[in-house]
Amino acid sequence: MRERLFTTQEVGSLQRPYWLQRFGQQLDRKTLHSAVQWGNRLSVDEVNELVNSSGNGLLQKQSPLITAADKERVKEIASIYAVRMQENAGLDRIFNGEQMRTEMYSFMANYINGMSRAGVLNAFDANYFIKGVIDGGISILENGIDFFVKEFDFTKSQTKREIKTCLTGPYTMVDWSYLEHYIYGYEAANVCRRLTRRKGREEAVMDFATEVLNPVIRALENSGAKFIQIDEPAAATDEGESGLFVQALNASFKGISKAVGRAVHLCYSDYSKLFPDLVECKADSYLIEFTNHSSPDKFRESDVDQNTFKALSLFKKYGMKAKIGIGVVDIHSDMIESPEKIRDEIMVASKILDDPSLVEVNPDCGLRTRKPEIAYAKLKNMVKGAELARIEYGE
Amino acid sequence: MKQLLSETKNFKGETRFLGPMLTGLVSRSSHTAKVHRLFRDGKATESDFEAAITSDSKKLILEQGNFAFISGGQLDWLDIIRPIAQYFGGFGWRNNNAFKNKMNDDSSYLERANPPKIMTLGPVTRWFRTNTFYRKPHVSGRIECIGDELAEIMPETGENSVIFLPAPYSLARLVENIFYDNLGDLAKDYARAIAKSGPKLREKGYSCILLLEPFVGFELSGNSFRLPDWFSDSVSLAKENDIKLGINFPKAEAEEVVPIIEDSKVDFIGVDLLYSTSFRVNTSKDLLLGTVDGGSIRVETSANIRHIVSRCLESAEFSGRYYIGPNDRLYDVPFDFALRKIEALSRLAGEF
Repeated sequence: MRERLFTTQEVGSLQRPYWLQRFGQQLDRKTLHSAVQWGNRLSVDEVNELVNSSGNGLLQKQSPLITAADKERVKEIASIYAVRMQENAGLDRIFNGEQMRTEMYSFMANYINGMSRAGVLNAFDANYFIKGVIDGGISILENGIDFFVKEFDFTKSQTKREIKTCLTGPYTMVDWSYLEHYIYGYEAANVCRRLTRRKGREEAVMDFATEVLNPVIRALENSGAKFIQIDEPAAATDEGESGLFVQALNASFKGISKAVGRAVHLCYSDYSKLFPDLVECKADSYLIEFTNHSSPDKFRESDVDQNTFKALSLFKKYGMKAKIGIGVVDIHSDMIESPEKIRDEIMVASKILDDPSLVEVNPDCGLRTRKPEIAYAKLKNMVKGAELARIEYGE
Repeated sequence: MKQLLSETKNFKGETRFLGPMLTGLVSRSSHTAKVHRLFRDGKATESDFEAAITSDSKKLILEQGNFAFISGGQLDWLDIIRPIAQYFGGFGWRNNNAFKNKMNDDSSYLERANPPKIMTLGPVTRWFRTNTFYRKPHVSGRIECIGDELAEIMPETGENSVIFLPAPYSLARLVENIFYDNLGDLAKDYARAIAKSGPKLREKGYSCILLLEPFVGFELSGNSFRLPDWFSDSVSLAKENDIKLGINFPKAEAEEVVPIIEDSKVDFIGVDLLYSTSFRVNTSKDLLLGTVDGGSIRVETSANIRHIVSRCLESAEFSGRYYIGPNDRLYDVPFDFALRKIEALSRLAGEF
């Protein structure tokens, strides 16, 4: 049977529900509303565990009555909310919206031997992240493997849809960290950072691929995972390292069965810098931010900016047959993209790639930047847009 | 080593250390980051956020006792470009429809006739090879200085203060231009607007403008590149008589960038000694020697800094007058590390 065209999926984390952010504090009307209204709307049976008439719901508890098990359970229930939201929106491939994690970088760093926290840095406007320092040889901690497997098992137990697990990639983890351990020896011997940094980065990126990511992916495969997404937002920031980036991805997937889907997520970069090295990459799909590349103030509802998908022509030019998940939803705007606009974008991308079966559909990046109401509306329209595009192709 | 610093050569055989200075925006403390998030979420007031910024700035200034020029770190700038777009004419604005929709019958005639405008912003864009982002403003008209806002938003930090601004070429490459037919005209108009802002900045104690030119180092250096003919002219147009004008080239090869700017009216050129493979520069200008790593948390010792400076001074032919500073902004190291790096520079300066 022919695979359905235009698989839809979220691509990064979803915002933690308001009730989860307020967990442990006095239960107020807004918290109650966010739990009950969304629970009912998404048909989440576990809403009664959060709030009930007996007064012993998880959100009705306050410190010191909250146990470690309660803290775990609220994250599981938040995961169920995220799964139901994606199911109700109609997505084909889903995950738990990373509700059991804090964010993609420092959360991952917590499970790595040889990494510690350096301090807070600004990422964008009022968004900050904790930058880590690699101050020893890196490897995955045993409880890191346990966490990712447990997270996968839990998601699997909650849905019949195809599921995926997202992991932050080796290049990004290293690029966003201070590399004290890996550059110290080189810098002691030479003044010029341009030369010494590169050597240290190469070692760190490959160690991350082989000692951190590969063991996690192997454990997930053993647990039944069928789709792994490696998030690499830092890729393509240095064209001189595209070969290293590809080498690290391949090392991360080494020894994994071909039956396991291998996706790479790229965003906010000049993707042309990855070519021609990307041709050697053994991933079978790339989920790419595109919509933000067209300016929201120039890009009106019905227009498709022809330049938006220009990077796709490189995949075509180099004869790559990987699937491309095109970002059709802007995660930095509350504007809800119309299904018709999304349909048109899918058609444009299909035309550039000259093969609609290579096109998948996703938001630019994780919708955690948007409130649930907006994220849900955007995802629903994205699914409708894919449906409209299928009609155009006679499905 | 100290002797080396004072006995360095120049065209006339003289030398003069002018002092340290910062080279760009500085990161905010973890406390300020927390207050900023609370402010965004409506759980803290604007004055809470301003107080946190002021407190951080004071700490930074306190450490700059021996500095040639003082900076509060421009901590209230969300990025290096947005305030330019906000306060210079030529950048795109549009009606704030969200506000318009919220207006009701009680809204005044003036409010309804002139709803507040918001900047038309382009895509969220990565700031070179970092995990920080900025939003590209649109250039939709002629860039000009239309008031004193730039001076007004800058705090009074003393008589010898420095303001950091994007260099004309970098600005031209980092915005979305839908007005100018060529980027040279954009860069030149922007430089003229800087010069026009000069007198008011001077009145407020700003005796130095440091133009930040990251595009050359991050995007071009190391490859064979050719900059447009207008590069140097556009920088010269930013010169205002009473204010020192410098330009800093982070992550660029010193030997490559110095000749580019030699004919301009800048008073000094910032070279990144940490990312340069050769220090053989030849210029009649003063130099700003980037010797403290803005991308590393390792805090330099006086000996580290002296070692790099002396290696440069052994090879460079220049005016003999030099500043020292970080090779790049201290925005990519946490606040506490930035403070310690500033302290290291100040301590070294105190040894002269």
